[in-house]
Amino acid sequence: MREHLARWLALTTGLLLLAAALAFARWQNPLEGAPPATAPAPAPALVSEGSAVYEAQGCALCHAIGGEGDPQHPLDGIGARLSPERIRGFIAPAEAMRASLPAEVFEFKQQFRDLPPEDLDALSAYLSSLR
Amino acid sequence: MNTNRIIFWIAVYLALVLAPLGLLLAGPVPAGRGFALDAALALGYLALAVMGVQFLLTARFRRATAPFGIDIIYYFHRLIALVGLALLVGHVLLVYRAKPGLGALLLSGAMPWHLAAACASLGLFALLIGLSLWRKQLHTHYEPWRRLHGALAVAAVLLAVAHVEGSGYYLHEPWKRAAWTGGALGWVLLIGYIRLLKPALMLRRPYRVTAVQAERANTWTLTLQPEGHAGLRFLPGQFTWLTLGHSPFAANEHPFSIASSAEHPERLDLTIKDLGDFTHTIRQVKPGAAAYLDGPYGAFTIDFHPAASGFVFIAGGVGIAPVMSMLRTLADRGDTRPLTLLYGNMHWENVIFREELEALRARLPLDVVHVLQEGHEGWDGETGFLTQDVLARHLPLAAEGREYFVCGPKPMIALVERGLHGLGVPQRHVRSELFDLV
Repeated sequence: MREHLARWLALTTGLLLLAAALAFARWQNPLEGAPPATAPAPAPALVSEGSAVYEAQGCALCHAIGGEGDPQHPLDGIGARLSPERIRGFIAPAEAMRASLPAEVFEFKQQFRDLPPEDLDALSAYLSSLR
Repeated sequence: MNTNRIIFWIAVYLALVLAPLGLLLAGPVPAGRGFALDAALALGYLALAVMGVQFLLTARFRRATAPFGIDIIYYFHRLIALVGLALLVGHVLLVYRAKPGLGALLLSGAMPWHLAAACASLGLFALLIGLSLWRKQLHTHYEPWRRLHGALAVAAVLLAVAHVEGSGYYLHEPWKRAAWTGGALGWVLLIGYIRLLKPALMLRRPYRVTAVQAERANTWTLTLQPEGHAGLRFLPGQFTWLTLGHSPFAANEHPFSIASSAEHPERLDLTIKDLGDFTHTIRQVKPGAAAYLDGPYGAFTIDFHPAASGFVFIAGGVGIAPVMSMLRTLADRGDTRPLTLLYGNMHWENVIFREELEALRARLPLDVVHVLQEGHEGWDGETGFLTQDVLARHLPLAAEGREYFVCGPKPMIALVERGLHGLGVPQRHVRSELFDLV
C-alpha cells in the first residue's frame, strides 16, 4: 500500500511540476503577447531594410542567424516566439526591461535607443520574419 | 495524527521543489522570452530542485521520515529521480526547440562553458540513475556503488548549478542569484551532515559486540551492548544501520532489523542472514568488536497502532527478525491482546527461533502456524506458499480491529498482500517492510 502511495506521489509530483512549468511560461508570455499564427508576414522591403540595419549595427558580434555570427545567442525562429513589439523591447531596452537582461547587456544596448525609429521598425520586422 | 504528519511532510517536500519558481517570480520579474524557452527554463530549475532535494530525502532525518517509514522514502527517492531526469530531458528538448541554433553550436566545439557544464551534468545524472537501476545486473557491490553514487550526485548537481550561474536566466537581480546559489549549495552541504556530522555523533555512542550466535538457515544473531550510554531507544519492529569493523566515517554501513525487545535497549540483537555479501562476514565477527549504529528507523511497528484489538504477523524466513522484536516486547510488557503468526520457511530445519516461539506461546495469547514449502515425512501442517487459501484457513478474519504486519522476500509480500486483499482485509490495516533499499 505504501509503495502505491510512493508511486502515486512521484507521478503526481512530476505532473504538478510540469503543470507549474507550463503555467510559469504562460504567465510570462500571455497569449496576447505572442504573435498570432496567421500574423501577416512583414513587407519584404522592410525586411530587407532591417537586414541592412542588422549588418550595419554589427548585431552578429553577439548574435547568429543561420549559423552566421556569434552562435551563443542565436536568433533563428525568434519571430515565432516573440511579437515584433517584444523583439523591439529587447533590441533597445527601456528601463522596465532592466531585470530582463544581464546588467552589462542592458547597458550596452542603451545605445540602440538612439537609433531612428524607422531603423528599429525595420530591424524588428526583419527579426519577426525569422520563423 | 499520523495522516496529518504525512500531509505536512508531503507539503514541505512540494514547497521545496517548487521554491525555485517562487524565487524567479519574486521581486522584479524579467520579461518573457517566449513560451517554449520559458517552459524550458522552468523545467530546468524544477528538475534541479528535485535532484537537489534528493540529498535531503536520504539524509535520514528521523522526524520527517518516521510517519512514512524510511524504506518508502528510499523507494520514493528512486522513483522521483526518474521524474527529475524526465524533466531534465524536457528542459533540453524545449531549449533546443526554442533555440535550434544550439545544436550546431554544440557540434561546433565552440560551446560556452556553461553549456559544457550542462551536457556533463545531464550525462552524470543519466549515469548515476542507470548505475542505480541496474546495480545488481552490473554486479556492482553495495559499498563502492554507494561511494560512487554520492560522488556522482555531488558532481552532477554542482555542474548543473554552474550551468544556471553561467546562463543566468531570471537571476539578474543579485539577491536572487545569491538566494538561488545559497539554496542549491545547501543541498550539497547536506552531504557534509551525512558524512561528517552524523558519523561524529555515532562515534560518541559506541557499541560492543558481546555475542555472535549461530541460528538455523545460515543466519546469525549479533548481540550488541552500549558502551558508556543508555543504548538505543527504539520501537519494536524498527531497524538500524550497522557499522562494523570500520570507522563510522568510512560510510560502510548496512541496514538490519532489530530482533530484541524494545523494553531492553541495553541489549540489542540483530538477526542477519548470510546472503553472500557483507552478511557473509558476520560469522567471523569476534565478541569485543566495536560497532556503531545509526537508527532507529522504520514505521513497521505495533507501537504506531496502540488501539489495535490484536496483531497478525506474516513472516517469511529471516523476515521473522522484526516480528521477534514485536513478540518479545509484547511478552515483556505482559500484553494480553490476541496474536497470530503465520511463518513460512523452506524446511522445518530452516525455521529460525522455532523453540523460542513455542516458549513465547506460554507468555502470550499467540497462535503460531508454520507453513513449509517442503514438508518432511510425518509433517501434517501446512505446505506450499502463503497463498490466499492458507491465509483463509488460519487468520482471524472475523475479528475487528486487527493490524497486519507482513515481512519477508518481495514475492512473498506481494503474494500475501494479494491474498489479504482477496479476503477483504482493508489495505489500511496491512503494513509491510521493503528490505531491498537500494
